[in-house]
Amino acid sequence: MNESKPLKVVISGPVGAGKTTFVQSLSEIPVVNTDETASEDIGKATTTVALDFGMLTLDGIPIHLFGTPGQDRFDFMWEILCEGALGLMLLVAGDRPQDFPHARRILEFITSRIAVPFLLGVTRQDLPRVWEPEDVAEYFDLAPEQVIGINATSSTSSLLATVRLLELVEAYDPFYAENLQGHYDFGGTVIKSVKKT
Amino acid sequence: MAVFGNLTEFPLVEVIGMLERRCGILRFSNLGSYRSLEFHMNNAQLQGLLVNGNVIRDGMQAKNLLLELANIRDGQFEFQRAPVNALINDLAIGMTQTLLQRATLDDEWHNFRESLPDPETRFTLATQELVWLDDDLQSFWFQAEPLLEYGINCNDLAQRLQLEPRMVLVSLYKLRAAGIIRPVRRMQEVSNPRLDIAAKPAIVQPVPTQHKPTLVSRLLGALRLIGKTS
Ligand SMILES: Nc1nc2c(ncn2[C@@H]2O[C@H](COP(=O)(O)OP(=O)(O)OP(=O)(O)O)[C@@H](O)[C@H]2O)c(=O)[nH]1
Ligand SMILES: [Mg+2]
Repeated sequence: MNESKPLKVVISGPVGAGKTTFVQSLSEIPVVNTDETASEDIGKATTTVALDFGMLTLDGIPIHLFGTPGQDRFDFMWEILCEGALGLMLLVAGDRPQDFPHARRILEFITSRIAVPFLLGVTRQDLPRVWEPEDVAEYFDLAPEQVIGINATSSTSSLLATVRLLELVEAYDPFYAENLQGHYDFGGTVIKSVKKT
Repeated sequence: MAVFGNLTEFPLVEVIGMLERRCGILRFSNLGSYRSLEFHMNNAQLQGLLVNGNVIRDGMQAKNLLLELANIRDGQFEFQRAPVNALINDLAIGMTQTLLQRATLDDEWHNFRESLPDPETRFTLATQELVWLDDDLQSFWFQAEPLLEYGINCNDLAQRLQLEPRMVLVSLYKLRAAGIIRPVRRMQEVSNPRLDIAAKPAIVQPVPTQHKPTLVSRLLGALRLIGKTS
């Protein structure tokens, strides 16, 4: 039964990047959402305060989708979550360039220390005044293939981005997921502990 | 669609850096005492400059203006691509080099502070080509290069070289802006050396070593199927 062990994908990025929306667009279960009324002025009414949790089952393999909270004070959660992850999807809103520097700083901090395949998604591509993915790639010093434009409100667009992320994983190492399977046991641990009681 | 933003978030040297391979016009409105500014640029070279609608043809004047702007951290900018024949072509000034010219450490710290990398982020060499470096940056580079080759962060570098961490962080920032170093991607260090991700990040065919499909290829197959039916 080793094969149906869950894998996880982490969705990170600044406030309002579209993380919750993206997880909702992909998840086949109702997303466990921890949005609360924002206690500070962050430019939107509600914000994720713990995690978004969604799930996607692919060929019998559960993929856990973890959306991190966007506020800076939760940055530490990225690193913890990225350990053992199949991939990191970093989202930035294409109409909020003011958020790029912080996103780049933390992406570089994480990826220079943890070996995690990642894709940068530039959301809000359906809006008229946004940065194009290739321009964002220049700012982040990434190859164009590592950056994709997304409309996070669309399931199709979110699925396409996930395909791209997995293609990158496959390019890094075709057996990447096999090697990970021992490292991430969130579902297993929960289920086992539930069964015990 | 345009590249736009504010200098409060992006120091000018980074704006220029990200437009390095572009050809077009970078416009500022209400920057310092200037009502409007237009930089006509191609390959990070300043070819033409308009200040409040007047063309500046004197290279020295243009350089001084760039240096003045390097310290202004508030002003909206917008870049529009344009064909090279639509640009003014009076000047030939390397913008990155001019903007990275040495200032005092306190000024640089103040100017770049919000943009500096995390002191734990590891950097490594990005290019063999050394662009112009000022004396201070160059002497830092000569000391740091052997350590950077294997990837090192600011804190460790400062300790190894017995240098002030602030100075090391600013120097790393400048070397990065000049394209000489880049952040390490741990993934590349540990992954299959046959796949050079930096040069070729995208779609490589999986190695057909066994008949059983890999997990990732199964995930991809299932995803593509959903994509088709949704
Ligand atoms: N048009 C459009 N709207 C989007 C897109 N992505 C997100 N949004 C909207 O942007 C707003 C913020 O999205 P969220 O998903 O809450 O952002 P978040 O990243 O979870 O934000 P935090 O939890 O506060 O960090 C919502 O109103 C979304 O509907 C997009 O690609 N296009
Ligand atoms: Mg959220």
